[in-house]
Amino acid sequence: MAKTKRQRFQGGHTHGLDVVLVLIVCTLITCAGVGYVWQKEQIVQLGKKTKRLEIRIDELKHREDALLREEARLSTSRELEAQLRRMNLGLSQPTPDQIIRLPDGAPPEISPEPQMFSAKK
Amino acid sequence: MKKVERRIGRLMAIAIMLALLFLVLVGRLVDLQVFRHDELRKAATNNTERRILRGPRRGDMRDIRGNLLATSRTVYNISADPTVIDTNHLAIAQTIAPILQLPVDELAKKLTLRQIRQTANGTPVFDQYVMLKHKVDEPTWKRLQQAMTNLVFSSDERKLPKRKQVYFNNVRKRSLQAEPDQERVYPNGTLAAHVLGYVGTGTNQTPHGVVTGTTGKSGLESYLNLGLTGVYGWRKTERNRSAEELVAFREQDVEPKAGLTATLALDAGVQHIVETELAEGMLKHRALGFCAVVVRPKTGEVLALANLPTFDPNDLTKSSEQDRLNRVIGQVYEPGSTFKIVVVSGALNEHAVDLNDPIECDFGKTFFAGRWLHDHGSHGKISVEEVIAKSSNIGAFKVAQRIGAPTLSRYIKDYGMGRKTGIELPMEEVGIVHPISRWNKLSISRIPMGHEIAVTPLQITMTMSAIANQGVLMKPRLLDHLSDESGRIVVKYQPEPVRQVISPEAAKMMVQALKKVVSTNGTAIKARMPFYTVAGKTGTAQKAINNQYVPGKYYTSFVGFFPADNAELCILVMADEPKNGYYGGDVTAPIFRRIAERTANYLAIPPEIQPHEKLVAKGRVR
Repeated sequence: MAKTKRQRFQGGHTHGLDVVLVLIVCTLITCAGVGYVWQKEQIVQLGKKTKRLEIRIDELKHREDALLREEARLSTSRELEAQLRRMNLGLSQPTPDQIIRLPDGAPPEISPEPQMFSAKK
Repeated sequence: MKKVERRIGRLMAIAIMLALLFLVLVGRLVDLQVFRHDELRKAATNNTERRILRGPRRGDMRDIRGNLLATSRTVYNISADPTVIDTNHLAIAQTIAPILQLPVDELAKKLTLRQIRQTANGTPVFDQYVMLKHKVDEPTWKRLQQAMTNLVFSSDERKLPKRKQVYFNNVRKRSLQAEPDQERVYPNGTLAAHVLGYVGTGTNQTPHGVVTGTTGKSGLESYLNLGLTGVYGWRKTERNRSAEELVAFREQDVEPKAGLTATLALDAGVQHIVETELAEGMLKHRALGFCAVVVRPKTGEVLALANLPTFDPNDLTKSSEQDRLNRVIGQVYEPGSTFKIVVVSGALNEHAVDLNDPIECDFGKTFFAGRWLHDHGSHGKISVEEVIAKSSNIGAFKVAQRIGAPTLSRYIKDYGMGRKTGIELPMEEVGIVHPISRWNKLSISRIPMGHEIAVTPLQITMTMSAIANQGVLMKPRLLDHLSDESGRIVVKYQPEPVRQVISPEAAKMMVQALKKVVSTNGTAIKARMPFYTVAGKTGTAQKAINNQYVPGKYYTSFVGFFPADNAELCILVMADEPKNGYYGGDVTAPIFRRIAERTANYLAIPPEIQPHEKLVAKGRVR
């Protein structure tokens, strides 16, 4: 039995809506799939980045250790004495008669000179 | 109709075929997932999952001023997989030999594919792991990686089939592996080598079993091994086909806990002074060995402990067992006259004698228990103070007679002879102190002059420190504190008095007598200092080899402290078989003085004799 014009129109309308629905569902599924893959890819990439940064941290720690070792070597008494000899500065430890010791907590003595100067003025 | 039936028949055939195929698939799945589940799961896990043990960084050692004495650096143990290298061993050996500084032929031999066994079905199993070199530093490992990346196997690899290209890339990438390890570094070289000790390879306990790693073998490295080692961490993770870690699949990641940092009571500056002065002494006296120790009598802190010959813990191959001997705690010797301090201080404490009591010294020769006892000088009646100042053997014997053998034996034990001092170092000797039941008739005449008894230099130093510290014997202390990575103090070591051996009054009298040793009438005028009063005692003892005294071979020592009435430092210097003189007053007393002067300066110990009195002080010095 042949369909009337109205029936054909209604059927066509229903068909178009289905297509749209199918398209939306397909898009959603595709997006979900792509999103899932993208997320996994991001996890992998972040993992790689984490690994790279961990290696970098290790390298920097090793570098810091090496610099501390070098500093320790340069500040050894033996090295400092060798430096002094090389530079020939004639430096040596002071003897007790070359050291002026100030008593702990004693107020500084005020010398009379400033008053004399002011008097002269 | 027939057509329809034929079509239905074909459809049925296809359906049956598909059903059969499906059944085969299901069967295979059941086989893989159910029957071989455990076996395949294990294989898959082995293929991807990795449990990595993460070694902790060994703790540092620092001196009291924070100077680094021992630290660790990351190095790598380089190994290779000959199954990956395949037939390219010669090319790889030629590339990496100059970097690893190994002979090409030796390397090529190591890299050659080697069958180690056969499986039950006759399949050959090849060695997949050969160690190429231990403890390679980071720049060298980077150069190795670079060299392997740049390695060319064929003139134009791009023209090779894809499979061959992948094969060569795999050879470049996976032939060599590096396992992180650590190497101990001593930035000061030989400085305080006998205190710090050295490390070697040993086993360490971890949560995942026993592993091979760095472990202390001697000195503080050994004594503090547990604290310095730290705690192992681990990581459970997965890796891909290229053996790269898949960070996202990390299941467990436990950080290792670094070892504790040990801060010593030792001062690198004082240690350097002591070592340079001993080296000067060694040049002058060409002794078999020298040792010295600097202690704070009030706290027992050891500021320096040095031995010659010495060794570099960075390179043990250049040293012998004798070089590594810590004489201060590991060598026992007859102390000679330094032992008189035990006898006389004991007698003073017992009120058996007074400093001014006269003692008849029989003009250098006396007969006792069938044997002659000699003095190196001829003294008549001299005071107890002079017995110490002139180091009279006969005088010391007569003082000992006044207190008797049991009391003398008690003082020997109270001063800590015959037992460990408790210093934080392994392999400490206790010395030889016979129980009184084994003393013979002669013992009371021999022991007071430091014979028939053997002690360590540290025991004599602590005895002298007790006298300097108002009679209180302290435990020698090398450690100040242990701290964790963040600098938080975990253990703080405190001064530990052992016992009051003699009364402060007796100690004061003893100091009075010991000051005379460094006077013009004493045996150690060369130990005298211009700005400080010194108290001390010389010791010269003949060496006994196989229970026989050997003429011309001596142990020579001087142990003293300053400022005498408020002692800041106690210093012992001992020489083993010195040449160009053998008396303690000639060999070790001058070394004591130089160490004391430089150390007093370095530590800014206020002078007792003020600089403007220097002339007076100079006038008193000979």
